[in-house]
Amino acid sequence: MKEDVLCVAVSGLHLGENSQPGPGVIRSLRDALGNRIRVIGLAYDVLDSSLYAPGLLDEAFMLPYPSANPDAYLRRVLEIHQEVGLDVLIPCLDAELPVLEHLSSSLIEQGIRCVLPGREALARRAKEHLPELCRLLGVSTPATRVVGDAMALHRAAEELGYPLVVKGPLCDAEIVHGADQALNAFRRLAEQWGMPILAQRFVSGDEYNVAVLGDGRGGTHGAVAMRKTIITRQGKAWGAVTVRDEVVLETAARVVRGLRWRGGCEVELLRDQRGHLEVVEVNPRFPAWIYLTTAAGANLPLGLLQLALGRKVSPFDAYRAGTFYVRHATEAIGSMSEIEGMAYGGRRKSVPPPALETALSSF
Amino acid sequence: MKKHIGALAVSDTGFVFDPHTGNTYAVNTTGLAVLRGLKDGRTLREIEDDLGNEFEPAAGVDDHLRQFAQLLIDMGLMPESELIR
Repeated sequence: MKEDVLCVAVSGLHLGENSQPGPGVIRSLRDALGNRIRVIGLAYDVLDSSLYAPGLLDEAFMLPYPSANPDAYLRRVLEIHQEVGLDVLIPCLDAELPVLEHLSSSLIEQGIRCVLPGREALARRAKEHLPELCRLLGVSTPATRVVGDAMALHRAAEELGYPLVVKGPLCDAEIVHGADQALNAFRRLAEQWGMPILAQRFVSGDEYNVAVLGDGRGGTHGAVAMRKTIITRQGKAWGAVTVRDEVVLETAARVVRGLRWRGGCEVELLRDQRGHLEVVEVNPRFPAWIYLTTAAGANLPLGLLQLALGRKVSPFDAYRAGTFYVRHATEAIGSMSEIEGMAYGGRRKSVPPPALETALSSF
Repeated sequence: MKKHIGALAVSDTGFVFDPHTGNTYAVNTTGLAVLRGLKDGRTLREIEDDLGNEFEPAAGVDDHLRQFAQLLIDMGLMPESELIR
């Protein structure tokens, strides 16, 4: 490690309709460590919004998609490591995890630390395996069918009824109300995300999410529960409030215990009108709303960093219920030359404040 | 669902936060006095007497108090047994 400044790479940098966790992780780490951290953004798209948002990244690099070519991905990570000297890599996208799990020994050899769930845990929480996991753990989950083609989708809809939730394998979902809509959703999701597609019984009720930092031995270093208060058409939490609901927290803890999860994850739950709780998804990384945990007094991303460094993790025994957020969308400004720099050079230095100087000189 | 009136956070202005669900409510001065009484474990009869001491006498206080208590029960904030205590 160089001096006392940690060099941490973070991916999942886009804040948009479907926001990614990277910016929340970075804000949390900067809150705790100030100038004792140097943040390297790992981008997959020149329009990843954090690239142009002041105050988040010290530097950023473009990478090839990990699943498309793991070897090329590893080469690029090691090139970046040569340039900046990475201490820790925090992956914030689902698709990165299986590849990084495969590459973890190569990364460790080069001194890049990374907290990853085990391969088995990663597979067991996958959407298509969630019903089996929940059955083994004795927790409820909505009836779900894997659908490989239009016929299977039709059969699932007949069995589960409408409305129906049609889900992609990694992310994205649509609530559909009829056969045509279901088929359109199936085709779109299959084209965008690949197979398998899932059909899940729709449950109406309050939506709770729990962000967890698992210790890999069945325990948790910390967990924070929230209830969604503003929900987008895609089902994302545009607003939420932290709550202390012991049933929600215990259900999430049971899932984490069953998986012996190591690192960050998010357990999504629904409570129907009768008060019955169902686990809807287990996401294998921190959620986009992770900064809410920090604001509520439990900086889970800092715990993840401590875990990566092999340090003692600060205890997160309590957090404040009643801390809320409303997502605030704004424009991150850039110029064509900056896009050109990312597209052709694959690298970008720290982001200055918006072009005030230019604006003043032309005044 | 768990009945948890004791867990409600009640401010002096009548802003109420339920840490269990994240819901927020607003109550007027009388409602605030009733909620505080219930949180302190007082019965509806005792709260009615307290209201008589604290506020101007008004007709139908017992009915209003029961309606308010029923609302809390319907919202899952208070067990039904409170009504017959």
